[in-house]
Amino acid sequence: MSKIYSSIQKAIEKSRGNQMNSPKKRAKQTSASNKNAGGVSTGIFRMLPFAIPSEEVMEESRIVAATDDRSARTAYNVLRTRLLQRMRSNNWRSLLVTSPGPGEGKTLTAANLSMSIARDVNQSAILVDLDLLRPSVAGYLGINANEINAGVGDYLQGNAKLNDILYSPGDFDRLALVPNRERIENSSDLIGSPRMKDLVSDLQDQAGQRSLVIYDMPPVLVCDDVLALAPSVDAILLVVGQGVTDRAALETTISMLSEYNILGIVLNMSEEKQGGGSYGLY
Amino acid sequence: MQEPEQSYTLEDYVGAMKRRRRVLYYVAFPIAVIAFAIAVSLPDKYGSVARIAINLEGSSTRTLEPLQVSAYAEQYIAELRDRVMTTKNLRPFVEDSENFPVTEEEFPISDRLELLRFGFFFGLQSQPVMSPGGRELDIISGFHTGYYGPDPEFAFKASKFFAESFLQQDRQRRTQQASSTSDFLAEQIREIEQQFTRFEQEMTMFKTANACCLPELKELNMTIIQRAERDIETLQPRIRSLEQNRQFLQSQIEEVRRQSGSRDRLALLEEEYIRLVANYGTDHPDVVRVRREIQAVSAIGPTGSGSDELANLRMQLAESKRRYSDIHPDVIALNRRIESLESGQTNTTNSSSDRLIENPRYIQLRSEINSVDTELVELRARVPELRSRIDEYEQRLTRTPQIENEYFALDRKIDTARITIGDLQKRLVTAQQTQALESTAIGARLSQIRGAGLPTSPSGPPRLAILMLGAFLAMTMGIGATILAEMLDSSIRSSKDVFAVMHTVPIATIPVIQNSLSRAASRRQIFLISTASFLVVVSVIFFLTRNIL
Repeated sequence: MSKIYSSIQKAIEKSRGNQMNSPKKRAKQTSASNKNAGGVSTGIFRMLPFAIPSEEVMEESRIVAATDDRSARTAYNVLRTRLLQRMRSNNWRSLLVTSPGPGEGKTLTAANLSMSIARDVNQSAILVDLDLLRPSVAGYLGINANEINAGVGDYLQGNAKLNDILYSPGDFDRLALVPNRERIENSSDLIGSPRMKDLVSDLQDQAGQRSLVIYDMPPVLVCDDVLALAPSVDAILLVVGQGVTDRAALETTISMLSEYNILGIVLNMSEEKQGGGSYGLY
Repeated sequence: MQEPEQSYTLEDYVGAMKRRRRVLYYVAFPIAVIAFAIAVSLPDKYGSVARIAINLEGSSTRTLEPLQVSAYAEQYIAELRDRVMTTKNLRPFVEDSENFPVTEEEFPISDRLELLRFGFFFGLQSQPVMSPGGRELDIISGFHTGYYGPDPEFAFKASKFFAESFLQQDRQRRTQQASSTSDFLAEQIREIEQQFTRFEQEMTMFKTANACCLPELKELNMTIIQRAERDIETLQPRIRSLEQNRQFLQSQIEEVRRQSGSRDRLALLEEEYIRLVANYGTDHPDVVRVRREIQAVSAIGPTGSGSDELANLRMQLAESKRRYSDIHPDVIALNRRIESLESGQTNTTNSSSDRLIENPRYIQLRSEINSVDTELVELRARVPELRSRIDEYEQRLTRTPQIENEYFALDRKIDTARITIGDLQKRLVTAQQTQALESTAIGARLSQIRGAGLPTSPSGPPRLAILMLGAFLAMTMGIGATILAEMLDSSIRSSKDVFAVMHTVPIATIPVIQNSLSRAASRRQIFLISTASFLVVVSVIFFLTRNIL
């Protein structure tokens, strides 16, 4: 543990040495540091190198933190609360987010959920982009590829260490990000490799008792990455896109994941009337 | 957690419409735009109308049902219309340079005719009347005709031409009063009547040929048979009574004979024998009895063998005459022997016979018995006659079923012919009434109650109706396409669908997250809908204010 901690410290110092050259980013960092003065101990996250998101891209990508859509924020808060309750009651600390097929909103859900959790002063989260075939977490957040020196792919291929792939996304002190830089064809082999097990184990250790590791994974029916990682995580969160997910595909997915802990289903892109109405304006 | 209900509510349907709004837009919007373009782009059209009434107040109409009169009027107007629309009738109008100031090459006659026919319009008009039964009926009272086209002046000319053509054709038709229909029917009636007469003649011949055995005479024949049988039953006691009377008289005669001697008796017996043989023949029991008696008297009588032989010869002669003719050799020989014997005995026998015959008692008895015999002969002859009649009528009865089928077939044929005659006569009456209608009501048949006028404002096209129809089509087609898309879609569409698959509700339901792009799209959408609605409303108001609907 101390070994990991020292390696992270080194990485942080190295990264800050590079990034503090930008006045704007320094200002952001200062601001973030000030905001996280209280709450759960997130000291290690504060020391991570920055990967500053773009507000405009996040707004375009419908990251709730960058929009003023109150109903969506409320919905994610509900998801966060119910999810944390179930995770705590089962003493689960790692969560795999996936969907039956592509385009159903799993990455967006994983990102928004991570940020929602990070807003809770008693919780922290690590968002890992494990969709090796189509990495997109950094893109959703608008993080410039130049700011990422190494990603999870580099780690799995043995080209980087854990402290090289952990980033702090600016304002979110209780959120760490493990991005991926590029598409990797043999994703299944890498996810089933011992390096992946080490990553899961190390991240779990890194996160601590009050942190949650969230893995954004490719669709279940597209490749076997989810099946390869599922035994290593505590629970699975299925994202279903309204009007996108086929019933038969959902049934097949449920059948394939039946031996693992499916924490629940998130109905994304729903046009159902949300409860609460204008209560927030009260 | 509360489980969602599986039944679908209005909210679900509204949600479905929201989900498929793109389909709705893509289908409904082009239809609405096309309808709008058609409604706006179609050129103005002008209509000129003339109204013509038909008057059927002739004497014949009072005897016909209102519906018959109306049907006749409709038929008559249709006939006039066909005459008006013939090329022969339209040609002068289209060839008139005032109506078509162009050359044949520029605008061929056939195209002009087609144009004239295309713009022609026609419609029947009716008015309610009360039938004799108290029902309200719509009766054809007239029609309107005219022309509908882009040029108001041409529409006026064409409409005027059509109205005048109707009136002219009406006049022409009146002058050509054809009674072809009634003539045809009259001829048909004549033929059918001849046929009916032929059937009746056939029936008469049949009845004549089978007069005795007609089914209708069956009862009469039965009655005759029964009466003959009763007559026979009545004759039998009468005959028996006469026979008893005769026996009594015969015994009286015998008594007289005994009193007058055996020779007289023999003579009487011989006389009796000859009479009986003449009446009954030789085998009759009475004849046999008298013969035996003669033989017995001859054998024991005191008058000698000459008389006996004469008696025997006479008996043989009587029998021979019955069998043979007078010229038979046996008869001739017997006559000679009898004559020879009679010549020798004439003197002796004459005296006793004359004595007996002159006996008043004998003469009375003899006359009574003769009377009885005559009556008996008559009565006995009557019995075979009656039996013969019974046989004859029984044969008639036996024949009756044999001719019955033929008789009834012929009877049915006549009945059918009679019904046909009745129907034809009714039709003839109707035809005659129609003919009378033709001849009496034609004088004031068509009259123009409103002439064609020059149109001052367009009467079409029905732009608002086109718009409404377009809107209706757009909505129905759009909704239909939406429903079809929804039916064909097997994706997850709500929490209920998730529950149906997972048997648990979603842990969270995330709405579509609104960002600046989506809000801009919504604003554009609202702007487009508002603009389209504004255009539709403005168009409707514009067309309404032009008062062309």
